[in-house]
Amino acid sequence: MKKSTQQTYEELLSPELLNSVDGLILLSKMIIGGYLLGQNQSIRTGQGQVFRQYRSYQPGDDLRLLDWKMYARSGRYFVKESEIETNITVKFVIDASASMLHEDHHKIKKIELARLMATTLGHLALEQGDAIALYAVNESQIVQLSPRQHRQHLHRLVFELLQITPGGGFPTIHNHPLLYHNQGGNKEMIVFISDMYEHSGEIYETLEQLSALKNEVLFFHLLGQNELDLNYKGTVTLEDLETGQRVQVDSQKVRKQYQENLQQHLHQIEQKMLDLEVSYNLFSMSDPLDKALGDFLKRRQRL
Amino acid sequence: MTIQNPTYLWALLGLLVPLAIHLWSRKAGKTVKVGSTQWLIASENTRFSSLQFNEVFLFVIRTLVVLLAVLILLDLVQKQPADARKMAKTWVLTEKALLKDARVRPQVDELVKAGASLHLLEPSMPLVSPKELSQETFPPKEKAALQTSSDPKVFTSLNYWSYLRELDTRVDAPKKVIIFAQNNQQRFQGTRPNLGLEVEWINLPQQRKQVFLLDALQLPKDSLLLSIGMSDESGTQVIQEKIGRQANTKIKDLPSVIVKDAQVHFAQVPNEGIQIRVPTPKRVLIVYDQAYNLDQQYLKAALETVGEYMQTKVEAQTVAWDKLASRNQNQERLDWAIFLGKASKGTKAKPNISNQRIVQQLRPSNQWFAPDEAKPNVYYLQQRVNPEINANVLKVTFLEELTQLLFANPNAQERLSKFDQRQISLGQVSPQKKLETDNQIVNQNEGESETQSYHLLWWLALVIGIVVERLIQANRLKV
Repeated sequence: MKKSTQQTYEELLSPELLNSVDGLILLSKMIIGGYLLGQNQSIRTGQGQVFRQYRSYQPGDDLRLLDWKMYARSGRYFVKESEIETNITVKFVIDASASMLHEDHHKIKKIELARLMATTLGHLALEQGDAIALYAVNESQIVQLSPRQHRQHLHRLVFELLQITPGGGFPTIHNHPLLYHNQGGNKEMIVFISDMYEHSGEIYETLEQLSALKNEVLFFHLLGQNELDLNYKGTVTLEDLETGQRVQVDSQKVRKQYQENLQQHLHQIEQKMLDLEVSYNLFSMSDPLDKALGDFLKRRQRL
Repeated sequence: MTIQNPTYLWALLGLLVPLAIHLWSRKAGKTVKVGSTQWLIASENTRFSSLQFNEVFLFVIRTLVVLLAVLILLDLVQKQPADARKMAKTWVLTEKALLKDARVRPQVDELVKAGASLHLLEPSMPLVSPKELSQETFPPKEKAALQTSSDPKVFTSLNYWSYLRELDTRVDAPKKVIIFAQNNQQRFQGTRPNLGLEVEWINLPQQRKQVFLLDALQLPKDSLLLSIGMSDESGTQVIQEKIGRQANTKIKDLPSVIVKDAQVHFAQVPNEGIQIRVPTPKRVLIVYDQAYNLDQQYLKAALETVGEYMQTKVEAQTVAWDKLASRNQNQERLDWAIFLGKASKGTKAKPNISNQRIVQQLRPSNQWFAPDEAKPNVYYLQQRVNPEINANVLKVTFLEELTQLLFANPNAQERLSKFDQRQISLGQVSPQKKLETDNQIVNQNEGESETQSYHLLWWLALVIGIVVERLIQANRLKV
């Protein structure tokens, strides 16, 4: 069932759908269809409106939690437990630098995949009862959306996602202080989507700050399959989208060296992310989005 | 296989182009925009560290394309055996002297071998059999024809047009003649004939320039004024050199001049000597009436000027018509008499006081002097020698014509004709409508039916080669 759904959404992946509100929402529904079953209840218990269970009193429990009516009926001490309402905010931080315009062999840009990823996870978060917010930034543009929990907020999120115009580099930490503004005061889960191309450690510094605020940070490192493999044919001139630098390469000859360099770089990033306690996920553009959903839900359960 | 345009063999250097491309291979390839190139820079530097030969198949295709283009330029043709029956109706005409010429003999042999019959380019056009040709025992000829073309009489009497006219009327006239000859201008006299023959002229350009003595004039102070002619196929020019009358004189860029007794010759051709001409003063009498007073003054001045230029004294005297009778005619010998204006009444109109006369007779012409058609040595002065009436008198042409008339040198003219090497272009010598301008014997000998050109094949292969090369290249650039 899940496999057939995945195939269907992948078949529908096209720049036209990825650049429209309805298209993005349709795709997100198709992706999360299988995940919503049984996932709409909190698994933690505590104080709340929805009753969950009775538990025997144990020394140390607050006496105010004792259900005296139960004691009257049974003569034993029981504590009444309800589901806890976590009420968190899922904030999507999207790197809107020019490098996100990189295309994979399927002619899908990174930014388009980032939009789909944010829409899908946002959809899932709303279904879970969480608020969703957006913060996309580059050197010349800031696109942001305040956290809300309404179902209609998904449309706003998608609309704002489509307003993102990648360009320039990722700004330094001092140029986007609004990123840390937590309006609702709720706990936040930050979903950071970026290709991690930085010039002076600006993305890393941002992650450091976010992590220091004791937020749960989930980092999706988006890379094209052609970036990972350098599987171009013959001699090509590669142009850096951010710096404009051009490099002529015979891909066959430099592939091995390049992959070694890249793997070393990825390993360094992973180490840094572990230091920051950021959940790091390398996500190839040819990977199915279900993988991202799995990581997201696993992380969500910790909150 | 024969190469028609060997000059284009230079184009083979074009093969270096694909070789260079494939050795260096610095083609940028397709440009792809990527997120970052920071992991590529380190590996890029090592890429061109040494020359490497790459894309062998593409190189082969490109080389073939260049080769095919060169082949098309070279105009490679396949020579096929000539049709013997066709050649049997072909005559090869040439002068006897030219049969020993290395430029002619191999081609003549080839044509005779192919079936053409060889004839000498002489009035009777005698046949030369292959056996006679190999043994070089040519048939007897008339005395005049036996002489070499260096004999001036024979030389100037050669007239190709008349030979061809005669050939055209013969019963055994061939359909085609191939003529090996030097296209000296003076051998084509008269109008171009309209013949039924197909004629192909094979031009034989002169191998070197002719330098010859035209005239040697004795000057005062024991010196000579030499007129030296230089002639080649493109033109003839005459220069004048003044030398001392010593035995051997070296002139810059010219052979040494030997002066012996009353003769002068170039050192290497003692047989071609000329007599030293001693200038004799020319006596000219100008008879005029009063209306031509200014004319006679100008004419007299012009005569003296010309004499000075020609290093010969001109003694010009003037006398009015009415005083002509009283002049003692027996006193002096006159070279020329010039009559200006009309004789006054009672005077003999044109007294016979000189063999050579010039009579004023105005005619609408640009020429100054015109000969009388009936009387030799009588010329007409067709314009007034008066600057107030005729401004042309101040132009140099008047003096030129006057010089030619007064100082005509028949010996020098004859020598000039003898040594004149000027040739007329092949375009002018063909008596037929069909014209062959190429002087390559290969072209001349082979009609289209006798050669097989592979042009179409080469072009087809070239186009296919270019298409294949483009397809491979486009496929290579796909990423």
